[in-house]
Amino acid sequence: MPHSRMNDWVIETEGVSRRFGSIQAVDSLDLHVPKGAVAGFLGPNGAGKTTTIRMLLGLIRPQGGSIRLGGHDIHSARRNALTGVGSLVETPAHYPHLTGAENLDIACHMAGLPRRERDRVLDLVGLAGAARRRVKGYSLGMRQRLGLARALLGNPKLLILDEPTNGLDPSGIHEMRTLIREAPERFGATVLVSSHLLGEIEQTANHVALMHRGKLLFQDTIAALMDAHPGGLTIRLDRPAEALARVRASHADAAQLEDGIRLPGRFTAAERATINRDLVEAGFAVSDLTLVKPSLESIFLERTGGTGDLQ
Amino acid sequence: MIGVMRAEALKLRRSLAIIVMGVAPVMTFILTVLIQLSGESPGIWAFQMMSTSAIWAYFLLPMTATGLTALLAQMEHGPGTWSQILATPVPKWQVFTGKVVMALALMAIVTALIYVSIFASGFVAGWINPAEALEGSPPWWDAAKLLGKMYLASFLLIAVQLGVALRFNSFALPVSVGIGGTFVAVAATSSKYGIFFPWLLPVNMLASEPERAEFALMLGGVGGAALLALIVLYLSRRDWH
Repeated sequence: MPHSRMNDWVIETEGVSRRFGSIQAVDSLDLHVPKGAVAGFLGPNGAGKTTTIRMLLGLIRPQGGSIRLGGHDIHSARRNALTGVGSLVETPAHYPHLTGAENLDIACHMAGLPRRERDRVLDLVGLAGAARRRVKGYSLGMRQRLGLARALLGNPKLLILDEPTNGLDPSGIHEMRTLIREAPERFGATVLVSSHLLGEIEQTANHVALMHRGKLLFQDTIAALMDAHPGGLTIRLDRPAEALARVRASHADAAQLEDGIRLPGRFTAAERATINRDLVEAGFAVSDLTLVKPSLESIFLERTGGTGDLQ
Repeated sequence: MIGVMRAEALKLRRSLAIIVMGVAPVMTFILTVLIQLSGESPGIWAFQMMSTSAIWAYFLLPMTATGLTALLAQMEHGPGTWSQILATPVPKWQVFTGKVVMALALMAIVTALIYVSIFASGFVAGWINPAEALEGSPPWWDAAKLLGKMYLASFLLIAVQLGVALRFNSFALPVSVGIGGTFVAVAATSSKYGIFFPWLLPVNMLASEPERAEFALMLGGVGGAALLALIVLYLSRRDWH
Protein backbone atom coordinates (compact mmCIF):
# COMPACT_ATOMS: atom_id res chain seq x y z
CA MET A 1 0.00 0.00 0.00
CA PRO A 2 1.35 3.46 -0.85
CA HIS A 3 2.52 5.74 1.91
CA SER A 4 -0.50 7.98 2.47
CA ARG A 5 -2.83 8.19 5.41
CA MET A 6 -5.78 5.78 5.29
CA ASN A 7 -8.45 8.49 5.65
CA ASP A 8 -7.06 10.35 2.64
CA TRP A 9 -8.15 7.69 0.16
CA VAL A 10 -10.83 8.89 -2.23
CA ILE A 11 -10.87 5.51 -3.96
CA GLU A 12 -10.20 2.46 -1.88
CA THR A 13 -10.65 -1.14 -2.96
CA GLU A 14 -9.79 -4.23 -0.95
CA GLY A 15 -9.38 -7.61 -2.64
CA VAL A 16 -11.75 -6.82 -5.47
CA SER A 17 -12.14 -9.65 -7.97
CA ARG A 18 -14.29 -10.30 -10.98
CA ARG A 19 -14.33 -13.25 -13.33
CA PHE A 20 -16.15 -13.60 -16.67
CA GLY A 21 -16.42 -17.29 -17.46
CA SER A 22 -12.90 -18.65 -17.49
CA ILE A 23 -11.29 -15.22 -17.64
CA GLN A 24 -10.19 -13.57 -14.40
CA ALA A 25 -10.74 -9.95 -15.45
CA VAL A 26 -9.74 -8.46 -12.09
CA ASP A 27 -7.85 -10.36 -9.43
CA SER A 28 -7.69 -9.28 -5.75
CA LEU A 29 -7.32 -5.61 -6.57
CA ASP A 30 -6.22 -3.29 -3.75
CA LEU A 31 -6.38 0.12 -5.38
CA HIS A 32 -5.86 3.31 -3.38
CA VAL A 33 -6.13 6.80 -4.82
CA PRO A 34 -5.30 9.66 -2.43
CA LYS A 35 -7.24 12.91 -2.25
CA GLY A 36 -6.06 15.55 -4.70
CA ALA A 37 -4.19 13.12 -6.95
CA VAL A 38 -4.34 12.81 -10.68
CA ALA A 39 -3.94 9.07 -10.83
CA GLY A 40 -3.16 7.39 -14.12
CA PHE A 41 -4.71 3.95 -14.41
CA LEU A 42 -2.50 2.18 -16.88
CA GLY A 43 -2.56 -1.07 -18.68
CA PRO A 44 -2.86 -2.60 -22.12
CA ASN A 45 -6.25 -3.37 -23.62
CA GLY A 46 -7.77 -6.26 -21.69
CA ALA A 47 -5.79 -5.54 -18.52
CA GLY A 48 -8.99 -5.08 -16.51
CA LYS A 49 -9.11 -1.28 -16.36
CA THR A 50 -12.61 -0.83 -17.72
CA THR A 51 -13.98 -3.70 -15.62
CA THR A 52 -12.43 -2.04 -12.57
CA ILE A 53 -13.92 1.33 -13.47
CA ARG A 54 -17.34 -0.26 -13.98
CA MET A 55 -17.06 -1.87 -10.55
CA LEU A 56 -15.99 1.45 -9.02
CA LEU A 57 -19.13 3.06 -10.46
CA GLY A 58 -21.42 0.25 -9.29
CA LEU A 59 -22.24 -0.92 -12.81
CA ILE A 60 -20.79 -4.39 -12.23
CA ARG A 61 -20.78 -6.23 -8.93
CA PRO A 62 -17.45 -7.61 -7.81
CA GLN A 63 -17.47 -11.30 -6.87
CA GLY A 64 -15.24 -10.55 -3.92
CA GLY A 65 -13.81 -7.64 -1.98
CA SER A 66 -15.08 -4.16 -1.19
CA ILE A 67 -15.07 -0.75 -2.89
CA ARG A 68 -15.29 2.60 -1.14
CA LEU A 69 -15.55 5.99 -2.80
CA GLY A 70 -15.05 8.95 -0.50
CA GLY A 71 -15.32 6.54 2.42
CA HIS A 72 -18.72 5.17 1.34
CA ASP A 73 -19.26 1.58 0.23
CA ILE A 74 -20.44 1.51 -3.39
CA HIS A 75 -23.05 -1.15 -2.70
CA SER A 76 -24.40 -0.52 0.78
CA ALA A 77 -24.22 3.30 0.43
CA ARG A 78 -24.33 3.70 -3.36
CA ARG A 79 -26.01 7.10 -3.33
CA ASN A 80 -23.45 8.65 -0.96
CA ALA A 81 -20.58 6.96 -2.74
CA LEU A 82 -21.58 8.31 -6.17
CA THR A 83 -22.59 11.78 -5.02
CA GLY A 84 -19.86 14.12 -6.18
CA VAL A 85 -18.48 11.62 -8.68
CA GLY A 86 -18.29 12.59 -12.35
CA SER A 87 -17.50 9.90 -14.87
CA LEU A 88 -16.81 9.31 -18.51
CA VAL A 89 -16.85 5.62 -19.34
CA GLU A 90 -15.44 4.67 -22.73
CA THR A 91 -17.48 6.26 -25.54
CA PRO A 92 -19.35 9.34 -24.33
CA ALA A 93 -23.05 8.66 -24.79
CA HIS A 94 -25.50 11.31 -25.91
CA TYR A 95 -28.99 11.63 -27.35
CA PRO A 96 -28.23 12.60 -30.95
CA HIS A 97 -31.70 14.06 -31.67
CA LEU A 98 -31.23 16.60 -28.87
CA THR A 99 -28.92 19.60 -28.68
CA GLY A 100 -25.81 19.69 -26.54
CA ALA A 101 -27.59 21.92 -24.05
CA GLU A 102 -30.60 19.59 -23.89
CA ASN A 103 -28.32 16.62 -23.29
CA LEU A 104 -26.86 18.41 -20.30
CA ASP A 105 -30.36 19.46 -19.17
CA ILE A 106 -31.22 15.77 -18.88
CA ALA A 107 -28.24 15.21 -16.61
CA CYS A 108 -29.13 18.36 -14.62
CA HIS A 109 -32.74 17.20 -14.15
CA MET A 110 -31.55 13.83 -12.88
CA ALA A 111 -29.02 15.36 -10.52
CA GLY A 112 -31.32 18.20 -9.40
CA LEU A 113 -28.90 20.86 -10.62
CA PRO A 114 -29.85 24.37 -11.82
CA ARG A 115 -29.59 25.39 -15.49
CA ARG A 116 -26.70 27.77 -14.82
CA GLU A 117 -24.60 24.73 -14.01
CA ARG A 118 -25.16 23.52 -17.57
CA ASP A 119 -23.94 26.85 -18.97
CA ARG A 120 -20.90 26.82 -16.69
CA VAL A 121 -19.65 23.43 -17.91
CA LEU A 122 -20.40 24.27 -21.55
CA ASP A 123 -18.12 27.28 -21.18
CA LEU A 124 -15.51 25.20 -19.43
CA VAL A 125 -15.17 22.71 -22.28
CA GLY A 126 -15.52 25.34 -25.01
CA LEU A 127 -18.89 24.18 -26.33
CA ALA A 128 -21.01 27.22 -25.47
CA GLY A 129 -21.14 28.26 -29.13
CA ALA A 130 -22.41 24.85 -30.26
CA ALA A 131 -24.83 24.31 -27.37
CA ARG A 132 -27.95 24.84 -29.54
CA ARG A 133 -26.85 22.43 -32.25
CA ARG A 134 -28.09 18.86 -32.32
CA VAL A 135 -25.50 16.38 -31.16
CA LYS A 136 -25.88 14.25 -34.30
CA GLY A 137 -24.00 17.05 -36.10
CA TYR A 138 -21.14 17.10 -33.57
CA SER A 139 -17.67 15.82 -34.40
CA LEU A 140 -16.18 13.01 -32.31
CA GLY A 141 -14.09 15.54 -30.43
CA MET A 142 -17.13 17.69 -29.63
CA ARG A 143 -18.97 14.64 -28.35
CA GLN A 144 -16.01 13.82 -26.14
CA ARG A 145 -16.03 17.37 -24.76
CA LEU A 146 -19.76 17.15 -24.12
CA GLY A 147 -19.15 13.90 -22.24
CA LEU A 148 -16.54 15.65 -20.14
CA ALA A 149 -18.93 18.56 -19.57
CA ARG A 150 -21.47 16.11 -18.20
CA ALA A 151 -18.84 14.59 -15.94
CA LEU A 152 -18.01 18.07 -14.60
CA LEU A 153 -21.61 18.95 -13.72
CA GLY A 154 -22.03 19.76 -10.04
CA ASN A 155 -18.33 20.28 -9.34
CA PRO A 156 -17.47 16.63 -8.66
CA LYS A 157 -14.88 15.81 -6.03
CA LEU A 158 -13.86 12.69 -7.93
CA LEU A 159 -13.56 12.38 -11.69
CA ILE A 160 -13.31 8.89 -13.18
CA LEU A 161 -12.34 9.14 -16.83
CA ASP A 162 -11.94 6.12 -19.06
CA GLU A 163 -9.74 6.89 -22.09
CA PRO A 164 -10.88 10.55 -22.22
CA THR A 165 -8.72 11.59 -25.18
CA ASN A 166 -10.17 9.00 -27.56
CA GLY A 167 -11.17 10.70 -30.79
CA LEU A 168 -9.75 14.10 -29.96
CA ASP A 169 -7.56 16.03 -32.36
CA PRO A 170 -4.12 17.22 -31.16
CA SER A 171 -5.43 20.54 -29.81
CA GLY A 172 -8.34 18.74 -28.12
CA ILE A 173 -5.90 16.29 -26.54
CA HIS A 174 -3.82 19.19 -25.28
CA GLU A 175 -6.87 20.93 -23.77
CA MET A 176 -8.08 17.69 -22.19
CA ARG A 177 -4.67 17.03 -20.66
CA THR A 178 -4.55 20.55 -19.27
CA LEU A 179 -8.02 20.19 -17.82
CA ILE A 180 -7.17 16.88 -16.17
CA ARG A 181 -3.83 18.12 -14.84
CA GLU A 182 -5.41 21.24 -13.36
CA ALA A 183 -8.53 19.54 -12.00
CA PRO A 184 -7.27 19.27 -8.39
CA GLU A 185 -6.37 22.96 -8.27
CA ARG A 186 -9.27 24.38 -10.30
CA PHE A 187 -12.11 22.19 -9.06
CA GLY A 188 -10.69 20.54 -5.96
CA ALA A 189 -11.19 17.21 -7.69
CA THR A 190 -9.27 13.96 -7.48
CA VAL A 191 -8.93 12.30 -10.87
CA LEU A 192 -8.61 8.67 -11.90
CA VAL A 193 -7.83 8.58 -15.60
CA SER A 194 -7.39 5.32 -17.45
CA SER A 195 -5.40 4.96 -20.60
CA HIS A 196 -3.36 2.48 -22.56
CA LEU A 197 -1.23 5.38 -23.79
CA LEU A 198 1.64 5.60 -21.33
CA GLY A 199 3.01 8.87 -22.67
CA GLU A 200 -0.32 10.52 -22.05
CA ILE A 201 -0.37 9.51 -18.40
CA GLU A 202 3.23 10.66 -18.02
CA GLN A 203 2.10 14.14 -19.07
CA THR A 204 -1.00 14.43 -16.88
CA ALA A 205 -0.74 12.29 -13.77
CA ASN A 206 1.24 12.51 -10.56
CA HIS A 207 0.19 9.06 -9.33
CA VAL A 208 0.07 5.85 -11.25
CA ALA A 209 -1.46 2.41 -10.95
CA LEU A 210 -0.16 -0.22 -13.34
CA MET A 211 -2.46 -3.07 -14.20
CA HIS A 212 -1.72 -6.19 -16.19
CA ARG A 213 -3.85 -9.29 -16.72
CA GLY A 214 -6.24 -8.30 -13.95
CA LYS A 215 -3.55 -7.70 -11.34
CA LEU A 216 -2.18 -4.48 -9.95
CA LEU A 217 1.57 -4.40 -10.55
CA PHE A 218 2.35 -1.08 -8.92
CA GLN A 219 0.69 1.97 -7.41
CA ASP A 220 2.22 5.09 -5.95
CA THR A 221 3.47 8.44 -7.16
CA ILE A 222 5.16 8.59 -10.54
CA ALA A 223 8.21 9.96 -8.72
CA ALA A 224 8.32 6.83 -6.55
CA LEU A 225 8.01 4.65 -9.63
CA MET A 226 10.88 6.49 -11.29
CA ASP A 227 12.94 6.20 -8.09
CA ALA A 228 12.44 2.46 -8.19
CA HIS A 229 13.67 2.46 -11.79
CA PRO A 230 16.64 4.80 -11.80
CA GLY A 231 17.61 4.30 -15.44
CA GLY A 232 21.34 4.26 -16.04
CA LEU A 233 24.39 5.54 -17.81
CA THR A 234 25.10 4.84 -21.47
CA ILE A 235 28.74 5.10 -22.48
CA ARG A 236 29.75 5.13 -26.14
CA LEU A 237 33.30 3.86 -26.67
CA ASP A 238 35.43 1.54 -28.75
CA ARG A 239 35.99 -2.14 -27.80
CA PRO A 240 32.72 -2.45 -25.78
CA ALA A 241 33.34 -6.10 -24.87
CA GLU A 242 36.65 -5.27 -23.18
CA ALA A 243 35.13 -2.26 -21.48
CA LEU A 244 32.28 -4.40 -20.17
CA ALA A 245 34.71 -6.91 -18.66
CA ARG A 246 36.55 -4.04 -16.98
CA VAL A 247 33.52 -2.29 -15.46
CA ARG A 248 31.84 -5.53 -14.29
CA ALA A 249 34.20 -5.57 -11.32
CA SER A 250 32.40 -2.57 -9.90
CA HIS A 251 29.06 -2.83 -11.80
CA ALA A 252 28.03 -6.47 -11.99
CA ASP A 253 24.78 -5.74 -13.84
CA ALA A 254 26.39 -3.73 -16.64
CA ALA A 255 25.37 -4.68 -20.17
CA GLN A 256 27.02 -4.43 -23.55
CA LEU A 257 25.53 -2.35 -26.36
CA GLU A 258 26.49 -2.36 -30.02
CA ASP A 259 28.68 0.71 -29.68
CA GLY A 260 29.19 0.92 -25.95
CA ILE A 261 28.02 -0.24 -22.54
CA ARG A 262 25.07 0.49 -20.22
CA LEU A 263 25.43 0.75 -16.44
CA PRO A 264 22.09 0.59 -14.60
CA GLY A 265 21.60 2.80 -11.56
CA ARG A 266 21.84 6.40 -10.51
CA PHE A 267 25.08 8.33 -11.01
CA THR A 268 26.21 11.65 -9.64
CA ALA A 269 28.36 14.00 -11.71
CA ALA A 270 31.41 12.98 -9.68
CA GLU A 271 30.72 9.29 -10.21
CA ARG A 272 30.32 9.84 -13.95
CA ALA A 273 33.62 11.72 -14.04
CA THR A 274 35.37 8.88 -12.17
CA ILE A 275 34.01 6.22 -14.54
CA ASN A 276 35.03 8.32 -17.53
CA ARG A 277 38.56 8.88 -16.18
CA ASP A 278 39.06 5.18 -15.40
CA LEU A 279 37.99 4.16 -18.90
CA VAL A 280 40.12 6.81 -20.62
CA GLU A 281 43.16 5.91 -18.48
CA ALA A 282 42.62 2.26 -19.47
CA GLY A 283 42.97 3.29 -23.11
CA PHE A 284 39.34 3.33 -24.25
CA ALA A 285 38.20 6.07 -26.62
CA VAL A 286 35.11 7.37 -24.82
CA SER A 287 32.97 9.45 -27.17
CA ASP A 288 29.82 10.02 -25.11
CA LEU A 289 28.31 9.59 -21.65
CA THR A 290 24.52 9.90 -21.45
CA LEU A 291 22.27 9.62 -18.43
CA VAL A 292 19.22 7.54 -19.42
CA LYS A 293 15.91 8.39 -17.74
CA PRO A 294 13.38 5.54 -17.81
CA SER A 295 10.01 6.13 -19.45
CA LEU A 296 6.74 4.76 -18.13
CA GLU A 297 6.69 2.55 -21.19
CA SER A 298 10.08 1.02 -20.50
CA ILE A 299 9.16 0.50 -16.84
CA PHE A 300 5.86 -1.05 -17.78
CA LEU A 301 7.49 -3.41 -20.26
CA GLU A 302 10.12 -4.32 -17.70
CA ARG A 303 7.47 -5.05 -15.06
CA THR A 304 5.36 -7.15 -17.40
CA GLY A 305 8.35 -9.01 -18.75
CA GLY A 306 7.91 -7.33 -22.12
CA THR A 307 4.37 -8.65 -22.57
CA GLY A 308 2.56 -5.39 -22.07
CA ASP A 309 1.14 -5.58 -25.57
CA LEU A 310 1.08 -1.82 -25.66
CA GLN A 311 -0.38 0.04 -28.58
CA MET B 1 -38.19 10.72 -9.13
CA ILE B 2 -39.55 14.02 -10.47
CA GLY B 3 -36.12 14.78 -11.93
CA VAL B 4 -36.04 11.38 -13.63
CA MET B 5 -39.48 12.00 -15.16
CA ARG B 6 -38.46 15.48 -16.36
CA ALA B 7 -35.41 13.91 -17.98
CA GLU B 8 -37.56 11.21 -19.62
CA ALA B 9 -39.95 13.84 -20.96
CA LEU B 10 -37.09 15.89 -22.40
CA LYS B 11 -35.71 12.84 -24.22
CA LEU B 12 -38.98 12.62 -26.19
CA ARG B 13 -38.42 16.03 -27.77
CA ARG B 14 -38.06 15.60 -31.56
CA SER B 15 -38.09 11.81 -31.13
CA LEU B 16 -39.88 9.30 -33.37
CA ALA B 17 -42.02 8.28 -30.40
CA ILE B 18 -44.09 11.44 -30.84
CA ILE B 19 -44.90 10.47 -34.44
CA VAL B 20 -45.66 6.87 -33.45
CA MET B 21 -48.16 8.18 -30.89
CA GLY B 22 -50.11 9.89 -33.64
CA VAL B 23 -50.19 6.98 -36.09
CA ALA B 24 -52.90 4.83 -34.48
CA PRO B 25 -55.39 7.67 -33.81
CA VAL B 26 -54.97 9.04 -37.35
CA MET B 27 -55.35 5.60 -38.92
CA THR B 28 -58.41 4.89 -36.78
CA PHE B 29 -59.93 8.19 -37.78
CA ILE B 30 -59.38 7.67 -41.52
CA LEU B 31 -60.53 4.04 -41.46
CA THR B 32 -63.68 4.79 -39.50
CA VAL B 33 -64.66 7.74 -41.70
CA LEU B 34 -64.21 5.63 -44.84
CA ILE B 35 -66.21 2.72 -43.39
CA GLN B 36 -69.00 5.04 -42.33
CA LEU B 37 -69.14 6.81 -45.68
CA SER B 38 -69.20 3.53 -47.60
CA GLY B 39 -72.17 2.15 -45.61
CA GLU B 40 -75.48 1.67 -47.40
CA SER B 41 -77.53 2.76 -44.44
CA PRO B 42 -76.75 4.99 -41.47
CA GLY B 43 -74.97 3.21 -38.60
CA ILE B 44 -75.40 3.72 -34.91
CA TRP B 45 -72.95 5.21 -32.42
CA ALA B 46 -72.72 2.11 -30.23
CA PHE B 47 -71.66 -0.07 -33.19
CA GLN B 48 -69.19 2.55 -34.34
CA MET B 49 -67.60 2.58 -30.88
CA MET B 50 -67.38 -1.22 -30.69
CA SER B 51 -65.90 -1.70 -34.15
CA THR B 52 -63.32 1.06 -33.73
CA SER B 53 -62.34 -0.25 -30.30
CA ALA B 54 -61.93 -3.74 -31.77
CA ILE B 55 -59.52 -2.46 -34.43
CA TRP B 56 -57.61 -0.65 -31.72
CA ALA B 57 -57.45 -3.59 -29.33
CA TYR B 58 -56.65 -6.25 -31.92
CA PHE B 59 -53.99 -4.55 -33.99
CA LEU B 60 -53.20 -0.95 -33.28
CA LEU B 61 -52.79 -1.18 -29.50
CA PRO B 62 -50.23 -4.02 -29.58
CA MET B 63 -48.35 -2.44 -32.46
CA THR B 64 -48.34 0.97 -30.78
CA ALA B 65 -47.10 -0.58 -27.53
CA THR B 66 -44.41 -2.42 -29.49
CA GLY B 67 -43.23 0.73 -31.25
CA LEU B 68 -43.30 3.02 -28.23
CA THR B 69 -41.59 0.65 -25.82
CA ALA B 70 -38.92 -0.21 -28.39
CA LEU B 71 -38.23 3.47 -29.07
CA LEU B 72 -38.14 4.36 -25.36
CA ALA B 73 -35.60 1.62 -24.68
CA GLN B 74 -33.60 2.20 -27.84
CA MET B 75 -32.73 5.73 -26.73
CA GLU B 76 -30.57 4.20 -24.00
CA HIS B 77 -29.10 1.32 -25.98
CA GLY B 78 -26.43 3.44 -27.66
CA PRO B 79 -22.82 2.66 -26.68
CA GLY B 80 -22.27 3.63 -23.07
CA THR B 81 -25.67 5.27 -22.48
CA TRP B 82 -26.86 2.91 -19.77
CA SER B 83 -23.47 3.10 -18.06
CA GLN B 84 -23.67 6.87 -18.03
CA ILE B 85 -27.16 6.96 -16.52
CA LEU B 86 -26.58 4.19 -14.01
CA ALA B 87 -23.27 5.62 -12.79
CA THR B 88 -25.12 8.56 -11.22
CA PRO B 89 -26.34 8.69 -7.62
CA VAL B 90 -29.94 8.30 -8.82
CA PRO B 91 -31.15 4.89 -7.57
CA LYS B 92 -31.27 2.39 -10.42
CA TRP B 93 -34.87 1.44 -9.64
CA GLN B 94 -35.88 5.06 -10.22
CA VAL B 95 -34.24 5.06 -13.65
CA PHE B 96 -36.19 1.97 -14.74
CA THR B 97 -39.39 3.06 -13.03
CA GLY B 98 -39.10 6.26 -15.06
CA LYS B 99 -39.16 4.15 -18.24
CA VAL B 100 -42.18 2.18 -17.01
CA VAL B 101 -44.12 5.31 -16.05
CA MET B 102 -43.29 6.97 -19.37
CA ALA B 103 -44.39 3.90 -21.36
CA LEU B 104 -47.69 3.74 -19.46
CA ALA B 105 -48.18 7.51 -19.79
CA LEU B 106 -47.61 7.46 -23.56
CA MET B 107 -50.04 4.57 -23.98
CA ALA B 108 -52.59 6.46 -21.88
CA ILE B 109 -52.21 9.49 -24.14
CA VAL B 110 -52.66 7.38 -27.28
CA THR B 111 -55.74 5.76 -25.71
CA ALA B 112 -57.16 9.24 -25.06
CA LEU B 113 -56.48 10.17 -28.68
CA ILE B 114 -58.29 7.01 -29.84
CA TYR B 115 -61.24 8.12 -27.73
CA VAL B 116 -61.22 11.48 -29.48
CA SER B 117 -60.81 9.75 -32.83
CA ILE B 118 -63.91 7.58 -32.33
CA PHE B 119 -66.16 10.60 -31.94
CA ALA B 120 -64.32 12.89 -34.33
CA SER B 121 -64.60 10.34 -37.14
CA GLY B 122 -68.33 9.89 -36.46
CA PHE B 123 -69.00 13.62 -36.54
CA VAL B 124 -66.76 14.33 -39.56
CA ALA B 125 -68.34 11.52 -41.63
CA GLY B 126 -71.79 12.84 -40.72
CA TRP B 127 -70.70 16.34 -41.74
CA ILE B 128 -69.32 15.12 -45.09
CA ASN B 129 -72.46 13.12 -45.87
CA PRO B 130 -75.37 13.92 -43.56
CA ALA B 131 -77.22 10.86 -44.89
CA GLU B 132 -74.57 8.69 -43.21
CA ALA B 133 -74.71 10.49 -39.86
CA LEU B 134 -74.71 8.07 -36.95
CA GLU B 135 -77.92 7.46 -35.12
CA GLY B 136 -78.45 7.58 -31.39
CA SER B 137 -76.57 9.60 -28.83
CA PRO B 138 -72.76 9.45 -28.68
CA PRO B 139 -71.69 6.91 -26.01
CA TRP B 140 -69.26 9.23 -24.25
CA TRP B 141 -69.13 7.33 -20.98
CA ASP B 142 -69.31 3.79 -22.42
CA ALA B 143 -66.42 4.53 -24.76
CA ALA B 144 -64.34 5.95 -21.92
CA LYS B 145 -65.03 2.86 -19.78
CA LEU B 146 -64.27 0.44 -22.59
CA LEU B 147 -61.03 2.12 -23.68
CA GLY B 148 -59.99 2.54 -20.04
CA LYS B 149 -60.40 -1.18 -19.41
CA MET B 150 -58.52 -2.01 -22.59
CA TYR B 151 -55.71 0.22 -21.40
CA LEU B 152 -55.53 -1.49 -17.99
CA ALA B 153 -55.74 -4.95 -19.58
CA SER B 154 -52.81 -4.06 -21.85
CA PHE B 155 -50.39 -3.65 -18.90
CA LEU B 156 -49.20 -7.26 -19.24
CA LEU B 157 -48.57 -6.82 -22.94
CA ILE B 158 -46.77 -3.51 -22.28
CA ALA B 159 -44.71 -5.19 -19.55
CA VAL B 160 -43.60 -7.99 -21.89
CA GLN B 161 -42.72 -5.56 -24.66
CA LEU B 162 -40.93 -3.10 -22.39
CA GLY B 163 -39.05 -5.87 -20.58
CA VAL B 164 -37.75 -7.33 -23.84
CA ALA B 165 -36.91 -3.88 -25.21
CA LEU B 166 -35.00 -2.80 -22.09
CA ARG B 167 -33.19 -6.08 -21.54
CA PHE B 168 -31.88 -6.64 -25.05
CA ASN B 169 -29.79 -4.19 -27.00
CA SER B 170 -31.78 -4.74 -30.17
CA PHE B 171 -34.59 -3.00 -31.97
CA ALA B 172 -35.47 -6.03 -34.06
CA LEU B 173 -36.16 -8.37 -31.12
CA PRO B 174 -38.97 -6.43 -29.38
CA VAL B 175 -40.49 -5.54 -32.75
CA SER B 176 -40.45 -9.21 -33.77
CA VAL B 177 -42.04 -10.19 -30.47
CA GLY B 178 -44.71 -7.52 -30.95
CA ILE B 179 -45.53 -8.48 -34.54
CA GLY B 180 -45.49 -12.18 -33.67
CA GLY B 181 -47.72 -11.68 -30.64
CA THR B 182 -50.21 -9.59 -32.60
CA PHE B 183 -50.58 -12.14 -35.37
CA VAL B 184 -50.63 -15.17 -33.08
CA ALA B 185 -53.40 -13.40 -31.16
CA VAL B 186 -55.65 -13.58 -34.23
CA ALA B 187 -55.24 -17.35 -34.36
CA ALA B 188 -55.50 -17.70 -30.58
CA THR B 189 -58.85 -15.88 -30.38
CA SER B 190 -60.84 -19.05 -30.76
CA SER B 191 -58.65 -21.05 -28.38
CA LYS B 192 -59.94 -21.59 -24.85
CA TYR B 193 -56.46 -20.67 -23.63
CA GLY B 194 -56.46 -17.44 -25.60
CA ILE B 195 -57.62 -15.67 -22.44
CA PHE B 196 -54.10 -16.11 -21.05
CA PHE B 197 -52.37 -14.61 -24.07
CA PRO B 198 -51.16 -11.07 -23.21
CA TRP B 199 -51.87 -9.72 -26.72
CA LEU B 200 -55.51 -10.85 -26.44
CA LEU B 201 -56.29 -9.43 -23.03
CA PRO B 202 -57.42 -5.97 -24.28
CA VAL B 203 -59.61 -7.64 -26.93
CA ASN B 204 -61.36 -9.60 -24.18
CA MET B 205 -62.85 -6.35 -22.90
CA LEU B 206 -65.29 -6.80 -25.80
CA ALA B 207 -66.26 -10.32 -24.65
CA SER B 208 -69.97 -10.95 -24.21
CA GLU B 209 -69.35 -13.03 -21.04
CA PRO B 210 -68.69 -10.58 -18.18
CA GLU B 211 -66.57 -13.08 -16.21
CA ARG B 212 -64.19 -13.49 -19.18
CA ALA B 213 -63.74 -9.73 -19.44
CA GLU B 214 -63.20 -9.45 -15.68
CA PHE B 215 -60.59 -12.20 -15.68
CA ALA B 216 -58.74 -10.61 -18.60
CA LEU B 217 -58.83 -7.22 -16.87
CA MET B 218 -57.46 -8.74 -13.68
CA LEU B 219 -54.75 -10.75 -15.43
CA GLY B 220 -53.73 -7.88 -17.67
CA GLY B 221 -53.87 -5.13 -15.04
CA VAL B 222 -52.64 -6.81 -11.88
CA GLY B 223 -50.39 -9.30 -13.70
CA GLY B 224 -48.95 -6.51 -15.80
CA ALA B 225 -48.26 -4.31 -12.77
CA ALA B 226 -46.58 -7.24 -11.01
CA LEU B 227 -44.46 -8.06 -14.05
CA LEU B 228 -43.46 -4.40 -14.44
CA ALA B 229 -42.32 -4.37 -10.81
CA LEU B 230 -40.30 -7.55 -11.37
CA ILE B 231 -38.70 -6.07 -14.48
CA VAL B 232 -37.65 -2.95 -12.55
CA LEU B 233 -36.22 -5.15 -9.79
CA TYR B 234 -34.36 -7.41 -12.22
CA LEU B 235 -32.88 -4.57 -14.29
CA SER B 236 -31.82 -2.71 -11.14
CA ARG B 237 -29.85 -5.70 -9.91
CA ARG B 238 -28.19 -6.97 -13.08
CA ASP B 239 -24.68 -6.03 -14.22
CA TRP B 240 -24.37 -3.42 -16.95
CA HIS B 241 -21.35 -4.12 -19.13
